[in-house]
Amino acid sequence: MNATDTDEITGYVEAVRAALAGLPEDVREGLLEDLPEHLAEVVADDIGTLADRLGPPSVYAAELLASAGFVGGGFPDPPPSPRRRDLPRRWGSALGRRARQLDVATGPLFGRSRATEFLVQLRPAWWVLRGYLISMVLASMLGSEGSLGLLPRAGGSELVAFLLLGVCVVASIWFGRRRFQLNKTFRLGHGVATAILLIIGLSGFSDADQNTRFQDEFSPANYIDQNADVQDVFVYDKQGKLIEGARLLDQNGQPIRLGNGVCFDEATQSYMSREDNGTYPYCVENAPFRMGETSPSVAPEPTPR
Amino acid sequence: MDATQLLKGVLDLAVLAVLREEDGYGYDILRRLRVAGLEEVGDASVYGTLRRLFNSGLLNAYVVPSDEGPHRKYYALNAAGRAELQRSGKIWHEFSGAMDDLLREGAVDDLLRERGTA
Repeated sequence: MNATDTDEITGYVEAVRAALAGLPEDVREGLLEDLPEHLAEVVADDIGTLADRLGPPSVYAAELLASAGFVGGGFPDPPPSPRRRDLPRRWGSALGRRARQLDVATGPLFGRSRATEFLVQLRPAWWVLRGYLISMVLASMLGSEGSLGLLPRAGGSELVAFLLLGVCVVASIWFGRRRFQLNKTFRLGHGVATAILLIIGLSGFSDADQNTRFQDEFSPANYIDQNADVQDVFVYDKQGKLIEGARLLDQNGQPIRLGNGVCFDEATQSYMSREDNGTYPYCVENAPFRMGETSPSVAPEPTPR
Repeated sequence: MDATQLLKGVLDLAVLAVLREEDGYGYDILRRLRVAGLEEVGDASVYGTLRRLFNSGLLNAYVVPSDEGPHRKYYALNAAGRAELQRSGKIWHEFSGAMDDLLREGAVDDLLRERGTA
């Protein structure tokens, strides 16, 4: 390619650019981005001027516009005259442009030319997750547990849970692979349903996480020794008579040790340790009820007069 | 009716199909289309179609430096492009099948007779 070729290409591109003057600048430049390199191939291939081979630049521009342009493609419609009611749409397309720029800019992070290409590859993973979420929601609607767990237990059965999980995941993958041609209403419905599913899934996930995380704090409640404040044991027979020297045994014949064998002596106002021979009570004088020969003052009130 | 009118509707499909076997740059794709028999296809149409398919996310692009000329932007089908090719190809087969049936001599009579007996 010599200098004349380069001049010819530059001139042709400029003429096409002029013919596309009605387009927004970024759309136009997007269209023309690769045109010089492309035309260089055309020039290199054969003899004859570009205008001979491709027609006048204005016709080329029109054909380019018709094919690249505004039928179901990535380019927004050029607003002919900016009117007030067009503003939201223009903002929308501006946002779309920013998003596309971001898309391209972050692409290399994932080793792709666009980040969305990477996301497209992740689609099957989303299908699986979607199936799982659907099964969880179904199970919580069918079952009575109320909150989401980690398995879709409907009626508490693990077999049913795995069956439901499998069916939902397979159905979701099938639905994802089918690429239905949904109309606008269905697309909207699908979007809304997906959003709701995600919200339910996230809340269920955080519930399940909290349940796992805080279980440890709740469980020690089971091990609280209900007899921790027992200091002494008093055994009474059928007649309400205090039994002294009683032994307490469990079902294995092991002595049950309760209390600490220390008595508070009223007379000396001091604690006295008793010999621990495995019998109760340690401190007979502290019995809550005394009948008959021992101190009647502590005994329950006899029949009223 | 001329072929340019028909091409407008199917150029996307044609470009996707050409890229199925092998990646290509703009002019190369144009040549392949012409060799395949679509002689009326315009340079600007192919260039514009490639830009649009790329912007719609159906194609990946990468630049290959060239010794003798400027660098070349190669286009390749990605997963979405392949899916689109399959989908559009199916529509095309149904459409062209229906057209072939219609154009057959006596085809309409056959159809009406079938309808009557069924």
